[in-house]
Formats: sequence, structure tokens, C-alpha cells
Amino acid sequence: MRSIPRAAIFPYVCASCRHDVTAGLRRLSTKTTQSPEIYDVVCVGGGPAGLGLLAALRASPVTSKLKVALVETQDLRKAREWSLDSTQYSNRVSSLTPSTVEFLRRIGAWEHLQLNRVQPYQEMQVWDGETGSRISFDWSSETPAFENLRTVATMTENSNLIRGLLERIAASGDENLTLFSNTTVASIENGSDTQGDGPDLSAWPVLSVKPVGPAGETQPPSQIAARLLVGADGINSPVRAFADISTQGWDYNRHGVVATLALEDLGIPSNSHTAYQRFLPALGGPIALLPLPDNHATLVWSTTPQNAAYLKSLSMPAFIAMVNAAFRLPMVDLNYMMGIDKSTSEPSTHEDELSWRLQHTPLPSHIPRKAIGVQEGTVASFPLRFRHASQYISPRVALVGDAAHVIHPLAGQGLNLGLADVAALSKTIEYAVSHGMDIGDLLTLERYSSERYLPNAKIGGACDLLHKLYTVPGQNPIAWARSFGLDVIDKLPFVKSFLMRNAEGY
Amino acid sequence: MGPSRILHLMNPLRHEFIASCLAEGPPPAVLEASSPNSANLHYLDIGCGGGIFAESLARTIPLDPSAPAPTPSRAASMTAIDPTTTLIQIAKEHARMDPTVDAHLRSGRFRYLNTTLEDVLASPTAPESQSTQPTAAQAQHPQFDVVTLFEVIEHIDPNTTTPQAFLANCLRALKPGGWLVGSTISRTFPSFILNQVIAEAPWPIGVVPRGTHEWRKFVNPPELHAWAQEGLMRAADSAATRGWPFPAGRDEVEMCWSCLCARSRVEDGAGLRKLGQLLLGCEEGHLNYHVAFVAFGL
Repeated sequence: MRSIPRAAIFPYVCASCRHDVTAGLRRLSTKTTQSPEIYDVVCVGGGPAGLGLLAALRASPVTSKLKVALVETQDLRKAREWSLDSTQYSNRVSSLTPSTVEFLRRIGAWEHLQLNRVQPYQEMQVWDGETGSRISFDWSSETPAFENLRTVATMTENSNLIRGLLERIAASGDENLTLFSNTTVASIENGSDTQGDGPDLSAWPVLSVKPVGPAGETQPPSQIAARLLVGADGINSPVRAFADISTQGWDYNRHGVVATLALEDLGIPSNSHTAYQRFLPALGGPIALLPLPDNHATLVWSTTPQNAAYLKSLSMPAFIAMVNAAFRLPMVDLNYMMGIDKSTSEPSTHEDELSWRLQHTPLPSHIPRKAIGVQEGTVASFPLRFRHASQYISPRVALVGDAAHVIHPLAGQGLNLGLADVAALSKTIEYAVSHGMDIGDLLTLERYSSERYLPNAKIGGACDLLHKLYTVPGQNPIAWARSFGLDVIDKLPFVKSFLMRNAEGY
Repeated sequence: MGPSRILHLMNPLRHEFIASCLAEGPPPAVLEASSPNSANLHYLDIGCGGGIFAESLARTIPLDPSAPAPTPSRAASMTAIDPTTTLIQIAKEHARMDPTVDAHLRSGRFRYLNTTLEDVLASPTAPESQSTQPTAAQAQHPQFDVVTLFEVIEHIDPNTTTPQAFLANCLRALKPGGWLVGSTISRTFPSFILNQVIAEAPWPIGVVPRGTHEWRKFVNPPELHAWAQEGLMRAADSAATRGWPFPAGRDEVEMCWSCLCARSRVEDGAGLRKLGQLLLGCEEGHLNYHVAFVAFGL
């Protein structure tokens, strides 16, 4: 915990015991600074979590009067004007669970998204590339015949979500709202006690913010004080560093390769869309193909950094061949294809290898349609990590989203957990405002932390466990055990429903 | 969070309790208000201690007096009194850590007074009136729309006053149609075990210093009812003899009484929320004095 005057944390200490503390404080506060502008909520970070919090606070009649600010280094105006051609899709796509969509609807943000660019899917096929054992997730066991299947999740581009949230915030008016766009946090410090002329801000975080780039050099930073400072500022959260909250975790030594793919058009219009994930233990992680509108799909391939670098270096046809191979060929073939030396082989080696090997491979019944193209400039990769903050709250500080937890993306839960944090925090703030509580008080924030810490740890831990189970290559007892488990779950509808409800977030 | 943690946890429920009371029997100021949720209720917190409740209520006073009230408590002003000098000092220092509360302290809409209830009644000063039409009643006694008495009545020193006389004084501070809202602990066997044996046990079990509570001073609902009724009669009498604008003679004064024996956990507000519906025997009109208590303990 950061050092705060003892009196601010434990106010109900008798005056004589506090004498020495306050004496020290007075010396500290002699430096004269301009008095900061006071906000109720200052959110650092304008990603989906930070913007989601702002939108939720603006949407509730109880909290809409709070004076709120958001600090973001990127240009929010550009983010709001984001638009892509209808045949182009961003490579940063998230799978939103129904409870997340429900939250976005509740705060009035969902309708601001470009809904022709989101793709709900009703079925999910997951199988083990080593043993072939398979599980399919859908709501068919709980859906009456002739009714459309319930949505498992909805694929949404992050830029689309951010744009929608910004639109929602803009629609709430600009009263009591400040968006510090293109702005960095130069420093966060505890405020000072003005000794009689004003309030005692010695336990309040005071941020110095200045514009990015040359404007920041000339302009003096502006000071803003926060009743509640929310860290939605990602894995290397400055707010978390200020609050002196430690994190535990590890790097997976894996990269997620993403790309936007075009799939072959079978000419059969379908109401039902399917997400596919195949675990490739020999290559270090699963490959997932998630549907986007209009015969597009987004790829997330978790693999070792060497493999990721190899994949990114391939020509487009070779990359497509590798993706198609990864959903079809046995581990041995894949391992071989991943090792083809590009410098000494023909440019079409990957495609030739794939078509030759496919002739000798029995294909399972559920495989995704063939990828036929990859959108220019969308092949990218990012490192996979696991992090969990030791706590989410500190006096006048709360962490949400990636600042609090970063998990393996194999279940597509990261963004959903972040928005669930935001839903819980906004509910906590709402309760506090309607009950006269100080929204930055530790007692207030306890509600948020106790609601979110365990669920996040549970989901993060489950993803970590799955990752570890499915990176054991070869035929061995672990592979048999995980396949047996998968087959059993697939045949027990109630267990499967239970897992799906958990993944849904309700 | 120290020995006051339970009181802090109870605090939101006090707000809900008051909100449910006000919804059940709106004071005349609420009924006469021009806009449906203007902040025009004047509160008196007796025995505010370190200001746990008083400060949280002061936070709900809108900074702009004409602005709508953000919460159902509709507070326009808060006067918090406690006879202990140290506690008032601690409360004032804590209040400075919140700019909103600090602003109310400076504007006088939130006041901490190191005084007794008797002195407040004796002094003719009215709370800072923020309503557009100050009425005659506000200039003199009685002054307050809501008087709160949370965890106080079980600490009355029998050498200086009696609970009955104390309750009569509380009612004297109340405007007709106003609410006296409080909570206390029942004198039951479980409350003895919980408050005397467990809570005051040596570290690490105990949470409060030995001698915080005296079990024999705890109050049971029937006693409380009788005292409040008797107190109201006395308040009416004294008003009549001193010429205060008490609305009616003692025969016409009626009290709405409700008391909830809270069995549920402190965190569970469901019982409290229902309390408003438990009020019985009230007739419509302004002359009813409302008294609502929660008695914790089985």
C-alpha cells in the first residue's frame, strides 16, 4: 500500500496518538502548489474498460451527476471517427459473452455500435489435435425444436466497441465530463493539506496531466484530484504502481498470432455460425477461428514465439495453407510443415504439402470452411501473459480490466472479465452515492473487490490450467486423461450447461 | 478497519431506513415542496460521535441548494451534536478530508456542535434555512424535520437523565409530522452474549473496549414505546406552557410508532426496507409524530 498519512486511513484514532503524525504532515505541506481541480471519478485509460465505466456512470440516473474525467494517451476523436470498409475487419476482435452484451445494452451503448459488423455465433467446436476427442458447445439441449439457438457469444471488433462507447458517452452530454484525449499522466502523488483554508487532500491522488507531444513541453501540466482514481490503464498500469499494489504472474512464452481471413463461400446461407478451436499441443497452444460477418473470420493462434515469427514471415498463400493445415492435419505433419525452410524450397511448398497430405488424412466431421484469403496488414502477434494484482483496491484507487488481471486468451474471456469489473464497480459507486458513502472510501470499494476478485481468479486459473493441460505433446497419460475428461463432459449435458453458464458470465 | 467497522457497515442501512420512513410518512416540508425531490429536510443527529452517520448524510446535501436532492434522504442541512469534545474534534478533522463535506461545513449547512441536546433546545438559533419560504416554525422550536438517534439511547447516563426525559427532549426538537429515527440494542440473552461476552472479550476476539456497553442499559421495544409516548405527552405539555407553536393540545397529538426487532444480519437490509410498511394506526395528516426504532438482537 502506498504511504498515506495514518490519520487518513484510520481517522478514528484519538487526538493524542495522532499528534506526531500530523506534526510531520505540516512540514510536508508547506510547498505551495496550485489547488487541483477536484473530480469524483478520474479514469486513467480509454480502452473498453475505462470507457465502459464512464458510459455506465453516465447512464445511471444516480451517478450521472458525478464529475468525471478520463485520461487517454491516444486520440479519442480519431477512435470515435473509426470506420472501415464493409469488406475489411480489424484484427483486434473480442468475443463478447451474452452477459457483457446485456451490460452494454443496459448502459445504452450497444445500439451505438455498428451492428452490421458484429457476428453472433451459436455453436462452438473444440477438439484436441492430438487425440481427436471433441466437445461441442451450444444451447441445443435447452432450446425447443424449431427455435433459433441461443447465442454463445458475439464477435465484435474492439475499435467498434470503443467507438460505440465514445458515442454513448457523447450522447450523455458534456456536463460534468472531461475527456483528456492525447494526454499522458506525468505523475500521480498524494495531495496536500491546505491547513484551514480548504479541504485536506493529503490522502487524495492528485494527477499531473499534460498533452502528448510538443504541446506537453511548453504547457504546464494541469492538476486534477480524484475522489476515486480508477486504473483502466492496462498491464503496466501507472495507477497500480502509484497505489503500490503488486502483481503475481508469469509469461507463457507464447505469442498469439492474429489475422483477418476470408473464408470460401459455400453458397449456402446459414443462420447458424460456429466458432472453432483446435488444441495443437505439439505447437504450443490452440488455434481458433471465430466468425465475422460476410464469410470473414478472425484467427487467434497461440503458439511459441519461434512459430509465431515463422508464421508472420510466410507469404500470404503459405500462411493460408498453414492455417488450413492447422485445422486438418495431424501433429506430425504440422510439425513438419512448420519447419519447412523457406529459403531452400519452392514458394508453393506449403500449399503443395497441404494438398498432398490432405489426400491421406481422414477429416473429422466438424471443421471450419477453408480460408481462401488473408486481409493485407492484419497478421500480427502479441505476447501471452498471466497477471493478477494482489488486490484491486487501495484508498481512493480501484483497478479494472487488464490493470487488475491479464489472462490466457484461449477462452476469449479477458475483455468480458474487464467489462464485468466495470459493471460491478459502477454498481458499487451507485450504491455508495445513494447511501451517502464516500465513493473512494475503502469500505465502499470493498464491495467491488469482493464481488470480482474470486470470479476473475477462477476464470484466469481455469484458462491457465487448460493451457497447461493442452501443451503436453504426444500420446501419454495426460493426453488420455484430458481427452477422457472432454468426452465425459461432452456426454453429460448438465455438466456442459454448467460450464457454459459459467463461461457466459451469468 | 478498527472497532467502528460494524458501525460503518450499518451506516448504509440507516440511510435505507430513513428513506423507507420518509416514503411511508412524508414530513409536511416534503408534501409542501414545490418540486417533487427538492432537498428541504433539516436533520439533527444526536450523539453523532465521530460523525459516521452525520458526515455521510452531509454528503447527500446538494452543493447547490436549489438542486434536486440526490438521495431520498432529501437533506438540506445537518446539525450533529455530541457532548464529548474529543469526538467532535475528530469528526471535524475527518470532515475536512472530503471537499464536499468541507464546503458544507464552511457554508454552515453542516454543523458539528459540541453541546448537549438540552442546550440546543434552550438556544433560539435555527438551522441555516435554505428553503425559499422560511416559516415561523423554523425560527423557533421545534426546528427539525428528522431527528436521528443511532445507538445512543443505550448509552444514557442514569445519573444525569433518564431515557424517558431524553426521548421527550428529542421529540421537542422535532417538527410536527417529522420523524424521530433511531436504533438500539435489545436487552436479550443473545445480545448479552454478543455485546458483552464476545464483543468486549480480550484481543483478538473482542472488537470494542471493555465497558463500551452496559447490558442492563439496553432497551426493549415495549419500554421504548412507553417512553416515547410519555415523552411526546411531556413535549406537548411543555410546548403549551411555554407558548411554542406546538400544533395541538396533548389530547390531539398522535404518535405513529414502529419498532423492528432486527434478527437478520447487519448487512441484510431487506428487513429494514419492509419497516415502513409496519407502521400501524396512523391517520392521514400532519399532526402525527413518527417514531421508528430498530432494536438489534433476538
